Amino acid sequence: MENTHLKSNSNVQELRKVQLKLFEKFFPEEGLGKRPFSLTVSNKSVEEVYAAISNSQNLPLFFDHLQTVDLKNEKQAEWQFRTINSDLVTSVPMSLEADEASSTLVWKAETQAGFDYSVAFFLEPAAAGRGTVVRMLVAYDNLAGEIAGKLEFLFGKDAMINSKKNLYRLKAFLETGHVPTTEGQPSGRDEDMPDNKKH
Amino acid sequence: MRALTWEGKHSVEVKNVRDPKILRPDDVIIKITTAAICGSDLHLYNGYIPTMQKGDILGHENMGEIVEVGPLVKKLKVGDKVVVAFDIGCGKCHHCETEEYSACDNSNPNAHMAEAMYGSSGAGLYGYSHLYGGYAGGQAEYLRVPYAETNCLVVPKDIADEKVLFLSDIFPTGYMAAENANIKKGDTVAVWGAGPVGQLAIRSAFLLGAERVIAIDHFDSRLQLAAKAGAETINFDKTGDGILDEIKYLTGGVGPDSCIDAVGLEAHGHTVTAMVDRAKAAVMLATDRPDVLRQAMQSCRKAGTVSIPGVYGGLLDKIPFGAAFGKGLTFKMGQTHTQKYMKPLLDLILSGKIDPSEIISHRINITQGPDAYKNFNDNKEEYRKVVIKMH
Repeated sequence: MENTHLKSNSNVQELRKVQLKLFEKFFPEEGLGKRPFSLTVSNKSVEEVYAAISNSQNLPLFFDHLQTVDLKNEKQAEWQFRTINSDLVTSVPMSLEADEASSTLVWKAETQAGFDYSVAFFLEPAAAGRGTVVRMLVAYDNLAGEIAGKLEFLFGKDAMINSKKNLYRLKAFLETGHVPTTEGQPSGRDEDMPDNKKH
Repeated sequence: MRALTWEGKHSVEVKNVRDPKILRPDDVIIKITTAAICGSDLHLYNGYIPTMQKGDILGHENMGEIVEVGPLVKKLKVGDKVVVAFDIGCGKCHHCETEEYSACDNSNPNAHMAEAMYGSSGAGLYGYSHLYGGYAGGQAEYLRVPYAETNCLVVPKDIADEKVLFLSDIFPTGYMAAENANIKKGDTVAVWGAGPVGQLAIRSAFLLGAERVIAIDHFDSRLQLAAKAGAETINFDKTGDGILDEIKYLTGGVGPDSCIDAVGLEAHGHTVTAMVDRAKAAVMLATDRPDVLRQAMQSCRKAGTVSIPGVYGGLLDKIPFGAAFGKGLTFKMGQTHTQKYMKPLLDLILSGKIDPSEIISHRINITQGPDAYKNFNDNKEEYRKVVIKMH
């Protein structure tokens, strides 16, 4: 159904060609069979979604563990990550490698980061005017030793799961203005108990 | 505050925990006045629902008084008496906009977990596992309600809590089950399970035009309450594995026009398949015991409808899908889109057409909660619906 619709929409077909080239350039090891995570944001045009995600100050609002983005210039920034399961902050120098057709953004860690880390967003109009399809791909080098340890330290054992969570958070942010949370709610677990009630 | 917490299979405790606070600008905090223990809470108690964590606060049938509102909340105010829908809708996504609140795209912070199991995630739920968001429940003195304007129904202050509490879940669930059953005037409807949802499905089926309703259970007290609402009854302890013959007998060989499975994943029964289910579940070889669903599919008339409000959680074994295909059955199921039904069902209550409080069997305070879970689980003849008075 979707393909039939898209075939009649030459703009979307052209957009996909552009995105495919970027995909091959920045994520060659993923191969063409690897699909990025996709979600549809209701009632938001491609332009609106692009405006939101191209403002890098918005990224920490939906990107889990990303605390701040300090812009050095239009193409470079320091992404400050709070590491998984700790409050340590690690800075990752990132550069904007692609910003095309108001529909594609690719951020990539700079060489001095010490590992390969790329984040890409691809946007296209959803079928039947239902908003915008957002495709997100995160890639990182699965290197051994110290570097692999650093990646795990930053993103957890499964960075791809975190990426999927971030795409859900992006959709919620765009549709409702914030991401859902239970962080800070009460429970009967020791870590959430009042100090005088811990077991 | 005090809260009932899940501490493991067959273990519920009263704990003093922190009070909830506003976490998002469209939250409210309510002081719970009355909450209820749902039959589906027993699936948690019995360890059938995965991803519960020790210390989780239970409870998804909640009402109370608003004591604090977030800065973006405009349509609710401190002092409002509200009933809270058990399924959390964001109010902004495609599904919420089409009144499919329990399919909300945005309210489950753990949507990625549900996607891995089910292909996509439903709405977040209060006190019902981390698969459904890990939200703290309302069997507690206070509750945080996210997306409050979508999920709170303001009710008159002078109406008794007990009359409107069940708008939070089981009345809309029973009503949607009947609506999903495609009932036409004069139809015969069979309802498996004469617990709270079944009772309200029976009453809703009559409201929607059913001529006959057949209630199936094995607790006499529940069947008596169903009979009081006008249902014919079958006690399957007496029919044994002849339950399908009994239904055929009562429907002149045709079968019910609609069948409602208000039991779900912990079915009891005397059929061979039910016994096999119990054995497999006991050794963790099955996630669900779906014998009621099998019976509904087998007994439903050709081209009839099977409606499933009962909760299922995993992979179902030996489902007679050939029968369903051969007879051309229609299936409708799923968590209730509670918010869609709350206001019209409140109107039915206020007009005196129905009084859901008649299903209540026990009223307790929070310190009696752990015993109530045990008793409700072990003695369904006596325990039908437990409400907890919090304030």
